[in-house]
Amino acid sequence: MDISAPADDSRDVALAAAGDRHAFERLYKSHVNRVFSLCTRMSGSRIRGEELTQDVFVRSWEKLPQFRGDAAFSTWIHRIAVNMVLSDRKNQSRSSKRLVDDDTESVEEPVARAYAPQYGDRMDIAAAIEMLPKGARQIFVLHDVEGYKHEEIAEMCGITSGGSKAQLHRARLLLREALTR
Amino acid sequence: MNENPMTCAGADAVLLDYFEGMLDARARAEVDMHAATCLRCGSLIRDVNGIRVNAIAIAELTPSRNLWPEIESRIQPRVVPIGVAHRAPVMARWWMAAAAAALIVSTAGVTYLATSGSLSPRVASAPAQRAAGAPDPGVAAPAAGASDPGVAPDAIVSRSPALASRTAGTMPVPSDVQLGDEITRLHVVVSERRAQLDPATVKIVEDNLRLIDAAVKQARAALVRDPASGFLIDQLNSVLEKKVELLRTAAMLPSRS
Repeated sequence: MDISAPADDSRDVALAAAGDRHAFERLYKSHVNRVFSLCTRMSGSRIRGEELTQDVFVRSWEKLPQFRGDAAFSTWIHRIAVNMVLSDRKNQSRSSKRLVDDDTESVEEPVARAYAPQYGDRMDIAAAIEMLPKGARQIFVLHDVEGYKHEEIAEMCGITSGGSKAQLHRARLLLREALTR
Repeated sequence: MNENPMTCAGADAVLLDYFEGMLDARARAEVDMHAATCLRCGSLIRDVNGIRVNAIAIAELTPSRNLWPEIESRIQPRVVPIGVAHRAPVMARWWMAAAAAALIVSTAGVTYLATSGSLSPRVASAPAQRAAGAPDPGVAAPAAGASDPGVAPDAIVSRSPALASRTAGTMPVPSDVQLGDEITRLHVVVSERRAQLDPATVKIVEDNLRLIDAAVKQARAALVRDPASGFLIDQLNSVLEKKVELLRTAAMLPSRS
C-alpha cells in the first residue's frame, strides 16, 4: 500500500508532534477527505464515517510523537483509520448480536435482495458498495479502492490471504449484480 | 486445439485466480477463449473488470460538516491532577517552574531595557550596582544552590515612595527585608537535603534558582534607574516570592528511592 502524498507534510508533522495544533489543523485539512472516504465506505454509514474520522484524527494526534517518518504521513494516518474501522467493527460485533453473520452469507445471495433499489433504478458504484455486506465491503474497499494487497489485508483483518481473495471475489460478484440489475 | 473446451462451471472455478492474475498463461488463455464464445462468462469478466476500474477512480467523499472544531476540543492539552504522589507529576511541576522562571527573566529583561533606554547604559550600570553591594554576576554560584543565601538581594521591596527612594543605588535597608531570612533558612535546608535528592532534580532546582537570581538582579538594576516605579517593585517582589516558593517546594521534595 503506497499512498502518494499530496504535499510535503513533514514540516507540519514535526510541528504537530511538538504540540502545534495549527499545524495539525493543516494536516487535518489535507487528509480529512481521504480518511472520511475510507471510514465511510468501510463502515457503510456517513454518520459513523464522520465519528470515526474524528476518532482517527484524535488518535493520530495522540500517537504523532511516536511517528518516526518511515512512511508518508498519509500512509500512516490511513493505517490508523483502517485499524480503527476494523476495531470498531469488532466492538460492534461484540456489543450487538447480529441476525446474519456477514461472513457466512453465500456468494449467490444477492446483495440487492435485502437492499434492492426499485426496478429500473441504476445504482452507481459508490451506492452499491455501501450496500455490500460488511465483511465483503471492507475487503473490497481495502483492495480495489484503497489498493492494499491481500497479504496486508489478511494481516490487518486477522484472516488468511485466501480468505481475503474469496471475500473480494464475492464482493465483486455482488456489486455486479447490483449494478446490472 | 483443446479437445475438452472449458465450460461455464470450469470458468467459475478459476475466476478468482483469473482476476488475481494467478493463472498460468495456458489456463488464462482457456478462460479467455471460453469467454469469447460464452455470453454469460464474457459479460461477467467485462463487468468485473469494469468494477475494478471504477473502484480505482471512485471519487473522494467530503464530510457534511467541518469536523475540526470537535476534534480540536478533544485534543486540548491534558490537565495533570494535583496531588498525585509519584515521580512524573513532580517533574512536570519542575518544568512548569522552569517555564515560569524563564518568563520572569524575559519580562524583567524587557522591563530593564525599556526603562534604561538602550543597552549601553545597562552595561555601564553594572559596576555601580556592584559598588552598591549587589553580588557580582560573574561570580560562580555556590555548589548547594545558584544563589548566595547570605546576600541581601533576596529582600522584598516596599512600594512606598519613601522606602522606594532608598532602594536607589543601594541595597534595601533592614526594614525592607521581609523574605530575606526565610530564603536564607530555606537555602540551608535545601543544601542539607541535596545529597538525598535525585541529581537530575537538584540540577533543575539549581537551574531555576539561577534564572530567578538573574531576574532579581535585572529587576534591581532597573530599580536603580527608576526607583519610584511601582511596576518594577511588583516585578521584583513577584520574583522573590517565586524564589521562596521554589525553595519551599525543594525543601519538601521526597528523598530519592
